[in-house]
Amino acid sequence: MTVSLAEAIPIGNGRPRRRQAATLLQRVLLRIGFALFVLWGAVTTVFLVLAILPGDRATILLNITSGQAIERTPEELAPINARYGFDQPIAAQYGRYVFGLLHGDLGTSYELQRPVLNIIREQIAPTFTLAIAALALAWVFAIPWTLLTAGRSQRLGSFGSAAETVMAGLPQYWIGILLLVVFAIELRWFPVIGGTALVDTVLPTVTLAIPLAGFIGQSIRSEFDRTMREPFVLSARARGMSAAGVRSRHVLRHALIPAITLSGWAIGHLLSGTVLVESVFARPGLGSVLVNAVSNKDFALVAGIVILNSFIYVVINLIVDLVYVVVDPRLRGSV
Amino acid sequence: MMMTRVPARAAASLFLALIGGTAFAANASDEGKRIDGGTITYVHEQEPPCLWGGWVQQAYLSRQVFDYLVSYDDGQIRPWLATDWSESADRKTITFHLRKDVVFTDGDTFNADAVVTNYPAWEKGIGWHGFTYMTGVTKVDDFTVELHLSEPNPEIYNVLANGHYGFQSPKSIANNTAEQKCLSPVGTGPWKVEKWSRGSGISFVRNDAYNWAPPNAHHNGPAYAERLEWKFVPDATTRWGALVSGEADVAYQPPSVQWKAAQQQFQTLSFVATGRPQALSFNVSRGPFADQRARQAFVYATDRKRIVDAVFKGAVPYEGNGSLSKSTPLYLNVDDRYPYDVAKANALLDEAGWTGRDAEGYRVKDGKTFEARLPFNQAIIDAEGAIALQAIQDQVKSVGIKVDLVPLTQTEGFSGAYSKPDQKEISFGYWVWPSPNILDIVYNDTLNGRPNGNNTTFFSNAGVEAEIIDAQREADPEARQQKFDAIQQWFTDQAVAIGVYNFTYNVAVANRLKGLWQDRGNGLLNFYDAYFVRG
Repeated sequence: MTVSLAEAIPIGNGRPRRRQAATLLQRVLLRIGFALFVLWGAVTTVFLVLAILPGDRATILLNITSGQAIERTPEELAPINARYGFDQPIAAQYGRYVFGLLHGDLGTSYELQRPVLNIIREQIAPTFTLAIAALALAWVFAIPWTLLTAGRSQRLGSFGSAAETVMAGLPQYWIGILLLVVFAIELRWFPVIGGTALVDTVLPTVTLAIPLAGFIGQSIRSEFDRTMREPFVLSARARGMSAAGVRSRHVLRHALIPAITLSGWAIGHLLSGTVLVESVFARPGLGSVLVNAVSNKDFALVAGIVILNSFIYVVINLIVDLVYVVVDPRLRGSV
Repeated sequence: MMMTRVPARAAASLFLALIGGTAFAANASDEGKRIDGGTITYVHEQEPPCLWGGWVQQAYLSRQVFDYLVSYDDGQIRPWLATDWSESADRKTITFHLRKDVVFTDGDTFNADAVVTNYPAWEKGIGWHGFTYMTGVTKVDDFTVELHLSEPNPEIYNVLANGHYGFQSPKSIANNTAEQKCLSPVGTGPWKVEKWSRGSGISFVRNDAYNWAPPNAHHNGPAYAERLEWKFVPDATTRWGALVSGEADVAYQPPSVQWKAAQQQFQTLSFVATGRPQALSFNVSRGPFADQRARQAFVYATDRKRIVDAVFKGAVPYEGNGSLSKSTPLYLNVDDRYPYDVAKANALLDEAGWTGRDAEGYRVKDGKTFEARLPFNQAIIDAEGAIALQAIQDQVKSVGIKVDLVPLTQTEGFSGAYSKPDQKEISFGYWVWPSPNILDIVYNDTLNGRPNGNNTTFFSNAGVEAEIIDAQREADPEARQQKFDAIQQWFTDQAVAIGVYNFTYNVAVANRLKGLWQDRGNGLLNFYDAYFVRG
């Protein structure tokens, strides 16, 4: 057994424990404060970007509802601007939005004519399920693959690494179409038109998991190779531990840290970056709603989704931090 | 109506489009094998924001839940919610007598008040309403209304039948929220919305009380099928896969590479949209194309027919007329007006004074290169359309004209980028519209006293505008045809706008589903008459 720092530091009587609790509370408060700052930053950035991007919102709204792409007269635009408050100064529009936000009002999508909260509530479940399932499956692919191929012979390592690079480089759209044609259209194992049931989620999950497994595998591998050269590996072997035991119990633990960090990022990416997969499998979700909202400069909807994504991102990263502690006992003392 | 954002990706059956016959998939022996009930699954491409509005994607949907005053039956106007109608002497007032047995799915009654209540909703919800010349509706008695027009408009019936001008229950207009009116408007039609799952589809259920189908429907009474699942499937390969695997019964625009297979293995329906085709509109107000010879030279230098055949593989029809498409009332065929003739193009350009050449070989006049900016909205012109434009760019290069293709994103396009006269020399796009009065919309330089944004050629000629209005007002159908023929010929000879290809709406239908038909006014699918057969 390796001696971890946590075991080395005695956690004894009450006083340090109380101090520890105080530090923990401080850290949690700091984290929440930081999370709020991130959310505020996200909202403000989205607001500014959509305000600065070329394209008059009232013109887009009018043109989209009539299917034309023309310049509009001030007479046509005035009622629309007044109705949605586009005629007010940017600062006033921003103030009004943030005020609403503080009262729990995410606003109304002007294109879809519906409260943003209702739209998000509808779309969050399929998106979240898909993102989590894809991440989990990517790990299921990556770990055995690394254990089988990393830290052994040069040739096997190169082969494993090459396979991961290819996986990471595969375009989602292409994987999706291929899986669809083979498993849904030809073999008919899965439905072609996706819904949100379990059987409909399989192919989209695999589509997203394959490139992600490549990325995760790569980051585990490089750390794995490095750790294999650590002295404790040799000492563990010297104490009679089997090679497989050392690899899966000690080396893998070390090697997981960068991949866990990567997973936090991947969740953020998966929540909004699933539009191609949604399109191929005709699956509802936030990705296509977001892409549409951005092209129509539907601020309330874009901001609502961004706030939600930032929130989930913050929570996931909090979880990632906790997972570090579970995986790496050395970090336990610092909490 | 109007431009759709649907890429004209798949092929059109030219034959069906030209004979224009009621395209529906059924024959007498199928009737005997009919199964009542069942769920029809249709996979469509685009999901509009609301079920009802001024965009043709919305007409496809609202046709299922609404009924209309009249029905368009392949050139003929038939009664529907109006039993009969008459026009005033000046043809600017039309009196409609309404059916007395029609009820909305929320129990409200359809009557003159309902028509009057719906008019403001049309005005507000249909962006191009003003172009129909409608000015208002008044009630005469409980079941009689008068529709008022600012100009006589013989095609007003086509407009009223086109899928946009449906009726919502007055109760729902007064009491329902904006969200409810958007997602599940209340109509009198054969289907009602059960649920709209955004990003996935709309579930319609049969309106069991329905008993007022138009005479050109194949039956009366409730729809044959019990449910209609309208799925939104953006990817063409997926739509095709859903049809092939049997999950879908009807698929919208299969990939063009599969169109031949679709015609062999399935039933197909095809519709060439009315209005303006995908056409080149030259900026005649300034720049090189203010000169007619330069415009004609550009057209002679492009082998449009061959380009369309090559790009769309003989499937989407070539269209020579830049003002009206083949299926529009009073269309004039000018397909052979400008044969491919490089020598003639060069001669015209020499004559117009474009005699110099710059370092790259492009023509020069007064020290300026012959350069034409051609912006196009990628939400309106799909990838195959863009290839056709590249072919045109390549061909005119051989006579020394430089075309700059400027692809616009959907946001740029719909926010009106590159729409001013000093920003472009050529426009490219189409416009679905059921009437030749589109000439009044697109060639009129002002709209309510301001520059008309629909006038992409920036054409301005009071004399010609007067001729268009005169043709529109002509009471005698034969004289009206002649007048519109002359105008179309004039715009073609002047090369103000020149056609390239037609916008088409194609579907493939599984062999187990019969009786589905496509309206010949706007391509709307009629699921009401569709039924499953045994075996």
